[in-house]
Amino acid sequence: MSEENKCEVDVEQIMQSIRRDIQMAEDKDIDGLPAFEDIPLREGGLPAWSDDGVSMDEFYRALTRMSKTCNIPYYGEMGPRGLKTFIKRIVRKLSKCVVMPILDKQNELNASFVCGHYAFRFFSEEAREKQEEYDRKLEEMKNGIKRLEEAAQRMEETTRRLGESEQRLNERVERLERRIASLDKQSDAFGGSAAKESSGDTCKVQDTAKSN
Amino acid sequence: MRVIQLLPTISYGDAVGNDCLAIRDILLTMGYKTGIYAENIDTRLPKRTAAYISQLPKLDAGDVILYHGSTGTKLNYKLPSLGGRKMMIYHNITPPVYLHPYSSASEDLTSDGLKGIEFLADKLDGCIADSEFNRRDLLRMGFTCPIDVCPILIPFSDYDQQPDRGILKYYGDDGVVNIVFVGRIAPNKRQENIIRAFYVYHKYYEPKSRLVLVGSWNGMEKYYARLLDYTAQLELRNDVIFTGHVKFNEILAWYRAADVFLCMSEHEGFCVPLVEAMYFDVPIVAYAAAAVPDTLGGSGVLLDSSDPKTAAEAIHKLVGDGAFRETVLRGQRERLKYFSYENVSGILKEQLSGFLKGAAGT
Repeated sequence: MSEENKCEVDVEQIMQSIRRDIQMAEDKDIDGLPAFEDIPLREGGLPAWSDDGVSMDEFYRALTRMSKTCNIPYYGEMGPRGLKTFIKRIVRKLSKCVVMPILDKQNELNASFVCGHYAFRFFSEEAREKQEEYDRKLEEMKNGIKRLEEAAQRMEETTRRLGESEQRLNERVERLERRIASLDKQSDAFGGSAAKESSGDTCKVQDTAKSN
Repeated sequence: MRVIQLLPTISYGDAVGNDCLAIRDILLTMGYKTGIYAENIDTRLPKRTAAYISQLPKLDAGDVILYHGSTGTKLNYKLPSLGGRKMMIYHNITPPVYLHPYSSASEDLTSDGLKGIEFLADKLDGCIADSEFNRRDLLRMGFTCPIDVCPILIPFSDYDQQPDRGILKYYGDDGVVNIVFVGRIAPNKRQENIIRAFYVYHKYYEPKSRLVLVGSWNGMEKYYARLLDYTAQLELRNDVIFTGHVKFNEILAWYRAADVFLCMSEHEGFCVPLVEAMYFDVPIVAYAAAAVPDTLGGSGVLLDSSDPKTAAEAIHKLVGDGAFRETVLRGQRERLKYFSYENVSGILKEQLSGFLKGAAGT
């Protein structure tokens, strides 16, 4: 695929449409917008505090840089060979007895700073791990609560269905009871008329017996 | 024949470092013996990714050096004395004028860097520039060797990682329009113009909006402090977020939460974040300066000035007009195909093959 694969969208048309919209939008007065150039430079850079904070990665990198540079060597590259460098070497040799003890104390202080920062790094990592562990436990508890809520929901659903089944059973029982009651009435009625008929026949027999 | 990559610093996760590693992989697939040597090696890189310059073996006339030119370094002056044919992959150097008010060390470094690159103008056998803008820069500096253009190789598969859930949860779907720019806090990227454009958009179009500037201010503390003060003066402190250095998965989350990607840079050698925004389907509004038009290739919404009203209106159209937004996104998706790993590695292989075959013939 070559560079000729540029898109076919008419950008100029889009820009003309935008410019027209801007001309119509006269209410957007930005003449009073402060210029960035009028903002003075802070000579000290960022203030001692910053609500934007520093990321842990930046802190670790700064710590690595500190540990690599905290030891200031007394002997180092002085430049190319020549008279100037030779004189510098002599001066360095002569001032060694004065400068070296001061340098040793500075290096000791630097090393203590770096150790202190590493200890802080250790504590902050520990705190971060604990925080992550708490977050994990919290997540597990939330999941547990969610599962319990789902189980409770299922139980509610089951209870509701059981209630409906019970209601249907009760209705059926009532229908059966009504049916039994009506059957009882019918059988009572049937039993009464049969008794009447049988007692009528007996009278006839008795009357016939009497007439004979 | 050995093909060695040389660079001043190989960092973890930055465009030059990623490009270097991707080129190494291509060279290996082409069957060449290769290695990376640098003055400074980021400790976060896997062991044996690169070796120090002091360990560079003696090179023969048949060997090839691919030198990544991106900053001030003594390497610029040491390069001609090394053996073999030399090709520079030019990533561009920020003009020192941008850094002058904020960091004399950075200003000196970039100034030395540009002088070092100019020193190499007649000492190299070939160059590859990340963009047409970079190629013109080299021609302006008097380079006489053949200069090809090849975009930076971007490992898009890395962008499919899980984004940070916290950012997505709090900023992704809260009904606030997220305008995002990804890039170091640096004067050439003109974050103050991004803030100005956001001010107009926030005040006159959509008060429920926020601006997120994703990137570290390391080395540019004075510029960052000035931006903070500017934001305070515009009463935008609660609506502008400076993330500082963030992890990769947080960058991914910001792209996914973005509604518009706004770039007002005045100097860029390529601008990888523009391609990243295309990948995450975020519509782009960008000031047409330096390599930005080359990278966008006609896609996105290109502004011919850094006027904040124009930028704000463009953002408003992208957020409010669905059809317009879709048109712009279609263009970006088409342009993104050019930057696919397969396409760019194909271009690079073709350019390297030509150069390396020439070396084999010597």
